[in-house]
Amino acid sequence: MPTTNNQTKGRQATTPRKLRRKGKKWPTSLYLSRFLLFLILPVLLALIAYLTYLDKQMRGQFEGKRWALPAQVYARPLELYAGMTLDPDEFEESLRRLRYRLARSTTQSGTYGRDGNRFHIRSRSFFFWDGAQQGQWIKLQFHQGRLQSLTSLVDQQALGVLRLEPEIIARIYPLHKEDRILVRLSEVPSTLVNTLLAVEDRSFHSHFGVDFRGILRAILANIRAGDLVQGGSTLTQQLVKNFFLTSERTLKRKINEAIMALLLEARYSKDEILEAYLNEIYFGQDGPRSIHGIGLASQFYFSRPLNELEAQHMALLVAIIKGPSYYNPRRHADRARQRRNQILGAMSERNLLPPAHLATLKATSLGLSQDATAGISSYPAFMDLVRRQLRRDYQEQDLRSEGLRIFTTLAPEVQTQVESIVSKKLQSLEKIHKLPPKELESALVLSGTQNGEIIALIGGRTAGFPGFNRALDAVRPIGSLVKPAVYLNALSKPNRYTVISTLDDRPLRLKDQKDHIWAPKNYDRRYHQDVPLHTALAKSYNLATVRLGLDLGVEEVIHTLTQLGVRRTLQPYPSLFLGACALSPIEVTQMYQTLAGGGFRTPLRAIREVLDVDGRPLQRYPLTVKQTVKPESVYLINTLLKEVVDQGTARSVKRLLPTGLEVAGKTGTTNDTRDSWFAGFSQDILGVVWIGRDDNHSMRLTGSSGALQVWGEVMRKIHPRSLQMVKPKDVEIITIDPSSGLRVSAGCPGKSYPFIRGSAPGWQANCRKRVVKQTIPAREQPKKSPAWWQKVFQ
Amino acid sequence: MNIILRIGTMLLVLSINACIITPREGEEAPVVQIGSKLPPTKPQTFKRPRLSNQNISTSAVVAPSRPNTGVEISPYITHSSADKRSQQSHNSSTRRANRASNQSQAQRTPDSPAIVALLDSASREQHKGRPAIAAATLERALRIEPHNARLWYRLAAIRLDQGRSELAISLAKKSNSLAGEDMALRKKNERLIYQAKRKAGF
Repeated sequence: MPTTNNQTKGRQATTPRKLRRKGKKWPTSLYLSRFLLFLILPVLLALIAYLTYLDKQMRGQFEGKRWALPAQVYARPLELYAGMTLDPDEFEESLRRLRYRLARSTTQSGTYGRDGNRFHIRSRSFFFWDGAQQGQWIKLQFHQGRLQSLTSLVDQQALGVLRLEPEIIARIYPLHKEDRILVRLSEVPSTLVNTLLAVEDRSFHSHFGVDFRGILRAILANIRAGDLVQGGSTLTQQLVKNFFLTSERTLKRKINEAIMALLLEARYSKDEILEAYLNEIYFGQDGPRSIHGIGLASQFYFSRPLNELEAQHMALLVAIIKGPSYYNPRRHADRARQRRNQILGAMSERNLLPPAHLATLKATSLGLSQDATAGISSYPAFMDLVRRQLRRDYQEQDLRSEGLRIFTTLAPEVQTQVESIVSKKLQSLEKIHKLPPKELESALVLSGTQNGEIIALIGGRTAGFPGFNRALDAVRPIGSLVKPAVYLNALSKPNRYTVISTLDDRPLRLKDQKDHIWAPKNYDRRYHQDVPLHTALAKSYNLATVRLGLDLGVEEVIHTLTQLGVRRTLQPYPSLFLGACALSPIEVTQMYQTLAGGGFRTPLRAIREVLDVDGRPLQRYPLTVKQTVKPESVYLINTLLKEVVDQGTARSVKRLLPTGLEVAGKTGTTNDTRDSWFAGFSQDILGVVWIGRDDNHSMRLTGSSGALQVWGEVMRKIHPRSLQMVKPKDVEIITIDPSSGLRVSAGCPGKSYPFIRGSAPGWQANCRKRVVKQTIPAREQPKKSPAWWQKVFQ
Repeated sequence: MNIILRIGTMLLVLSINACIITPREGEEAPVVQIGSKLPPTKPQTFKRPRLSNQNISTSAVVAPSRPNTGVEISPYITHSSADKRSQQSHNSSTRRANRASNQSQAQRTPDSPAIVALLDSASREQHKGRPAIAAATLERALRIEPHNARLWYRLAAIRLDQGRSELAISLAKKSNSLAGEDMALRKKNERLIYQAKRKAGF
C-alpha cells in the first residue's frame, strides 16, 4: 500500500522502532561493548605479545645458554708398568694428588690401601682420546725403588701397562669466573636427585611449573612456624631465577619468572629442566670463582666425583642449595650440619637410605676435603708456556669458554720435587758462597731427550708465583754453552778435525774494524799450548776454541747453531765462539735436545693434544723428528760431553750422582760470573739450569759451582737412566798411543777414541813407546796461527 | 566492567603467587662480574639445550665423554707367543728396564710386557684402520723405551701408511741411528725409506 511506503520513508530520519522499544540501556551497552572490545583486544594482544617476548627470552636463555666452560688443563698421565723406576712414597703422593683416598677396603673407585711396599688400588676410569682406560682393581708390588709387579686383583693376571687418570693442573676460566663441570642427568646418583626433589620441590614431576599446592603448603608451614621456613618455588622457578643476572626481587620480576617457568615447562621435558637445574644451581664461592652445578660442587666440597659420594655428602649438598653462604659448611659448620641432618631424616623417611643407618650417618663429620682449591694454577710457569703454545692456534675467548681439554706433558711429581730442590739449593749456595740472601734467581727446564716433551719448568726460585718467567724470557749470554756448536762444526769435517786434533791454546789478540783489541783469556788465566781437541772442550779452554772457531768461520758456527734449533738472529762476531750471544733457557734446551737426540731435532712440546668438550681431538701435536746434524758427528760431540763430566769442568757433579750413572753436559759461565749455566743429559732426561741475578750483577758462581750443583741435585732425585749412546755405523773406536798420536792395535796401551770412518790416524807399527815407523796421515793438517784471520776484521 | 574485573583477578592471582615465593634465609645470588649483557651466544642448530644433545664430560674424574673411536687398551698380554716371552721377561724385566735399548747385540732382546701390550694394541688399531690411534700408542711405548729402534721403525711404518712420507723417512733414519748392529732392522728401515721416497716422488 502506498501509504505504508510513504510512512516508512517518512520515518527514515528517526531512530528505528525496534531500538527505541528496548529502552535507554541499549545504547549504553552498545558503546560499552564496543569500548570494552577496544580495550580487551589490545590488552589481549599486548598480553600475547608479552608472553611471546618472555617465551623468546626464556628460550634464548635455556637453549642459547651455552655455559661458558673453562678449559681444563691436564698433566701427563702416569703410566704404570712392571720394571719402572718408581718410589712407593712418591707414588702414594701422586695418588693423593689424584684425590685417591686411603681406605680399609678398596671397594669403591678412587680408593687405595697400602701395606709397606704393597698397594691395592681401585683405579678410576678415564676416557683418553686414543682409548678408554677402564678402572681396575690392582695390586702393585714395589721393590728397591722399582715397581716390581702390577697384577689385577680380579683374576690375578699380570697387567702390561696401566694409565692412571691425569691430574688437572689448571683451568682457564671464563671472564665471568663461573665454574662448572657439566653432568648429564644419568650421571647424577638417583639418591641425590630424589633427595633434591624431596627437599626442594616435592611435586616436581606433577606440577606444570608453578606449584600451587606447594605454595599453600609453604604458606601454612610459614604461618605455623611464625617465620619464613619454606619456599614455594619450584625447581623450574629457581632455574628461571638463575637465568637473570641481577637478583632484584620485585613483583614484576617475580611475575616474569612465574610466567617463564610455565613456558619452560610447556616447552621442555622434566628431565631437561632437571638436568639444566643440576648444572646451574649455585653452590658457593671460591675466592673469585663461583661454583655452579652439582658436578663441580661435589669436587669442590669433597674432592670426589659424583659417583663416589655417600649419603651424608649428598645430604650436605642439598642442604647448601638453600643458602650457600648461610649454610657454608666450611664457615658455618654447625648450621650446615643441622640442616644436613634434617635432610638425612627426610631421606630416611622416604627410604632413600636405610633407616637403620640414620643415626650413624647423622653422627658423621661433614666429610669436607682439605685440599687446596683447584682454582688457581699450581704451576704458573709451565702454564705460561702452555698458553703461549695455545695462543698460536686458539683465540683467548675459545680457551675460556669452549670447555677444551688440554693434555700437557708436565710430570707433576717431578715438578714438585724440582721446585723444592731449586729453592733449597739456592739458599744453600747463598750461604756457602756468602752471597746476600734471596738475590739469586734461577730457571730450569727438564725435557725428554728423544721426544722433546717438557716434563718440568721453573721460572723462578719461588715456585707457584706467577712472576717473570725466566725459563722462557730471561735472555742471557750463554757463555761456554756455545762451545759444543763450535766443536760439532769442526768434527763434522772429519777430513780436517778429529777428537784428537791438536789445537793451539796460546795467547791471542784480535783487532776489529774499529781497531779495538780483543784478548780473550782462559778461566784459569793460563795458556795450555798444544792441546788435543777433546781436552780443549772438556776443560773449556777459551783460546783454543776461538782459534778453532776462526778457522771454521763464524758463519759456519751460526749455521750449526741453526741446525741445532737456535732461531734467534746471532751477531757474526768472533765473540760468538765464547758465547757472547744471548738465549733463554728454553732455547738452550732446544739446542741441546738435538745433541741428546743424536742429531735428530724434535721441537720442544708442552702440549700433546687438545680435545673439544666432547672429547674429540681438535689438535694433536704428534712426535716428529728431523735429522739436522749427522749422527756420527753428534756421537763424537756427545762422547766429549761425557768427558766434560768425567774429567772436565763438570766432574764435581759425580759426587752428587749415584755411582754408575753416566751423563753428559757442558758448563757455562759468562764474564764476571753474571750467569751460571749447565746443560746436561742422561739417557732419557735433558736438563738446563741457569742461575743469575735479575739485576745482572756478578754473583761469583761459575757454571760448575752454581748451575751444575742444582742440576746434579735434581738428577739425583729423579732417577734418570744412565747414558748409553748407540754407536752409529760409521763411527769406529780406535786405540791411540797418546805419545805419538797414532793408531795402535787394541791390545796395546793407549786410549780409545771415536772416529768417523776414514778419519783415524795411520797405524803405528808396533806398541813400543819409541816409534819405529811413522806414517803421516794423508789428511790436511789444521792451520796454525795463520795471519789470514786478521782479514776477518777488515 | 566484568572483563576488566576478570583480567584484574588474573593478574592478582599471579601476583599473589609471586609474593608467596618467599625469599630464602640468607639467600643470595651468585656473584656475577659482567655487565647486564649476557655472554654472547652462538647460533644453535639444535633446538634442545646444548646439554641434553651432546656428550658431556662425566663428573667422575672430569673425563671426556666416551669417544666413538675409543677402544680399550687391553692391559692383558694377548699375544700367545708373547705369553711365553712375558713369563721369562717378566722376571728379567727389572734388569732390562734400565738397560737402554742398545741393540748392539745381533739378536733381539724380548720386549717388556708393557711394550708388548702397547705394540699389540697398536697393531690392532692399525688393522681397524685407525692409524692415528696406533701412532699415539706407539708414542706411549716410546716414552717407556725411547731408544727402542723397533718402535721408531713401527712408527715410521704407520706414518708411511698415512702418507706422511717425509716424517716416515725421518723416523726410519732415527730408527737406524739406534739400530746398532741389528742388520735386519736396518734393512727394513732402508726399504721403508726407499718406499717413502718413491711415494713422495723423489
